[in-house]
Amino acid sequence: MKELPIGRYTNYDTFLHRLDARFKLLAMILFMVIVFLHFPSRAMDFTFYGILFLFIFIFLKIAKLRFRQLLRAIKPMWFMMVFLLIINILVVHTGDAFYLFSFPIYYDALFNTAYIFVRLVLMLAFSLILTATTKPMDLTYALEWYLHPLTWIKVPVHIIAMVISLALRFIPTLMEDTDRFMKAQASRGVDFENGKLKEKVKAIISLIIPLCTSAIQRSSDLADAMEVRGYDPNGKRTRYRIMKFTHRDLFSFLFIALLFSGALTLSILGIDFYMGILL
Amino acid sequence: MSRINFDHVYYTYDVSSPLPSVALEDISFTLEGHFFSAIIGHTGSGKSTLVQQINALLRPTKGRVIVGEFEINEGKKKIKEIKSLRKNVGVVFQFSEYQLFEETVLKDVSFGPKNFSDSDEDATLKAKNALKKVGIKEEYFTKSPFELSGGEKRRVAIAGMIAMNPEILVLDEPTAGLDPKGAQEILDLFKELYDQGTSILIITHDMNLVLKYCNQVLLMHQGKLKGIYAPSELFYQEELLLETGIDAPEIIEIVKLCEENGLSLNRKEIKDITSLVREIKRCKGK
Amino acid sequence: MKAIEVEHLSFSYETGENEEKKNILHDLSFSVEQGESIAFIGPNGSGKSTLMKLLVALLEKDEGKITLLGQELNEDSVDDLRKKMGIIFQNPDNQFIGATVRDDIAFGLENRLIPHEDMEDIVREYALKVGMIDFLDKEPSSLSGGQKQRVAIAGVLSMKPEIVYMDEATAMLDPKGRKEIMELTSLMKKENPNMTILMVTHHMEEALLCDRIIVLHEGKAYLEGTPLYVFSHEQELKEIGLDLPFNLKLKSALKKEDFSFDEDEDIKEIMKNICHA
Repeated sequence: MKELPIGRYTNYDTFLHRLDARFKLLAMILFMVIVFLHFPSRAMDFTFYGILFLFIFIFLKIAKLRFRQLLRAIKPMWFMMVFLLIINILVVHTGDAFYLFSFPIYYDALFNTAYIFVRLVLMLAFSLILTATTKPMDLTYALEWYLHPLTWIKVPVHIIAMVISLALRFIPTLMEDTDRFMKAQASRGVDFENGKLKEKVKAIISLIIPLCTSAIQRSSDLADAMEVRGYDPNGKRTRYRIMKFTHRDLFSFLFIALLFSGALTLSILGIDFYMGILL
Repeated sequence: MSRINFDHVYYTYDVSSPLPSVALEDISFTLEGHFFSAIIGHTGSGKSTLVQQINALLRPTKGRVIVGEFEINEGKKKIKEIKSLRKNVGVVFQFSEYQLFEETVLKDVSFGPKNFSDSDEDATLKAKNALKKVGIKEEYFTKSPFELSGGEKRRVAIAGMIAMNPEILVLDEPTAGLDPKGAQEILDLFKELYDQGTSILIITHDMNLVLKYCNQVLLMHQGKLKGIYAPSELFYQEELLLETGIDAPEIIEIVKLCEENGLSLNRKEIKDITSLVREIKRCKGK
Repeated sequence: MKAIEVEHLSFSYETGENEEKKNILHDLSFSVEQGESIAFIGPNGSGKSTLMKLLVALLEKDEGKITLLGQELNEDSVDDLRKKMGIIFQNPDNQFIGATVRDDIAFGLENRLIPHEDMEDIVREYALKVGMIDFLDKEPSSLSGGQKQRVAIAGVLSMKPEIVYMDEATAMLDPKGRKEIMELTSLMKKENPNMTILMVTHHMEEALLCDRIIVLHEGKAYLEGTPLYVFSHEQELKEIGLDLPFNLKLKSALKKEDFSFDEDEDIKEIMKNICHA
């Protein structure tokens, strides 16, 4: 059964959905930093990866997302990982090794691949959870909030935010346009899947040009509508949506901050729970 | 002879997603011979989804569609067959003026025939004929389509389909957004094509058009086919219209009023104001 | 005070090739009283939409003078005047700016520096007025064309404009959507008797609801007057490809076939009399 790709916003009302977008963005970044922290032993590294996976399970559960969806998102990575593994086996020749059909395979090669794989999966999982529980618009607001200091060096942050939000607003519209134009040209005998290179180029042109004309038309209309409604990119505006940091956000923040500083301390001080016994 | 047959056709968008939406439910009907038919129904009643089954832009999730000798069902058909199906059934989409893309009007119109492996010469010849039919003057042939007015662009887009010489021409709201004159010109064109042997299937919200030009109407409601009617029957069925949210043309009110006041009009004859007045005259023995 | 005074207005643009100038509006003059509703009708390319864009200063005129609410429209006055007018365009999608209904209604308020504390009430008030209160958190892709246009109207009304322009606001809607917008327009007129409404339309039935009609043809005022007056010129309208509203068309057809009746009477009465004659 096909399911909604994880990562697309899901319209549920859960604890994670209700959290402030600014906090969620920060939390994601902190989690990602933990992913890349270096601990004194491999056992410690993987302990932390295990803890992070535990969090991911809990988050998925809270946000009513399915683990299967995450697996589907990882699927395209398999090929890359196998490739990476082969390269590593051929290149890495340090540390201990065991022999497979008298071919030496070094443990370091296996671990290197495992590190990359686990880290990628973790990062993917955290960002997917973020986008699945946060409206794109709210992410834009959060980004604008964080970038606000840049206005001091004359970066037009609110214009950038407006551009992003308009782009997000028009994605569904442009998708519909694409679908319509593809069907219209298919009705005129265009075959988008097969054909020689020359035909393919023509097929794409027959889609791109109408898409561009229509997009230009839409943006010119949109600019008109914004102008007459009093939008001035350089002028002052008040805000309808104001993000509020609630108790929920505060407690979640304290929790994440604690976790993060704990991980950071362990990493910096090089403390090993396993006293070097393991790996 | 054109023939469209729907055999218990179902269509669901996003079949396997958590939110599948059923667009067509158990549609069965046959259109045969030489027809000028309309599909009517509310926005979202499944009209557009239905016509896209006819040239296999969408395939039924269940059931089958038979168009001439082609059968369209769930399975994959070889592309060659789909191509010849699409040559036989020309579908013109809503706001078709936006699909133009070539450097000149003539090139754009010959794009279709070329895709169906006509030689350049043949394609150009067909394009010229089609443009003449839709009333685009020769001096426009070498212009960029983007220089034309909205109404002209729409006619060029329709010419692009006519140039392929389809047996059945399917049009999704071809008059939407045009001024009365532009709309009339396009309707005259369809009438002419119909008289020359093309079958026409038109999606429209314009009930005056349905009454005046069509010989049968498919009424869609919430993804189901309510039935196929003659316009002169359908527009007098008050309950059915109310249920499906269709407004009868204004002229129907007047016909009913005349009947209530003792005239026995021949409903089948009344297609517009001119024919209504003619009928009244006949009844009054003038 | 006159709401709109247009004097000797001309507008043209250069066509791409050989720097040929194409005249869109030519020496157009008219005036509109406050509280009046005017319909502009005319074939495609007669300059109706251009006129609307000139009146909200989205285009710059070549010659002539536009005076709105007693103030001449120019670079200095445009910001001030725009606060007093609103426009609803043809394409429902392309004027929906916000991510949701509530954000879109609030967009104008944000630009006009309405304090945050007042916005929610205003948004709710106008969403209620246009019948979109149950859709506040809906995204445009899940709304019908008619609903999007209603949101556009809410956005315009929330600015309490003195002049409202409707540039073929119903052209892309289905009959249901068109009916909704027409009903809303009538309501808008009734609730704000001082509001001046200018609409461009291809639907003669819509024009019939206005106080006055100005027929544009090739950039000039071709006919001007009450709907009754304008539609009594059947021949002139036909020449430029315009139609009569149904009732008037029927009357005219009956007259041609030598039925005699009182033209001012309601069409139903006329038909009854003819049946019994």
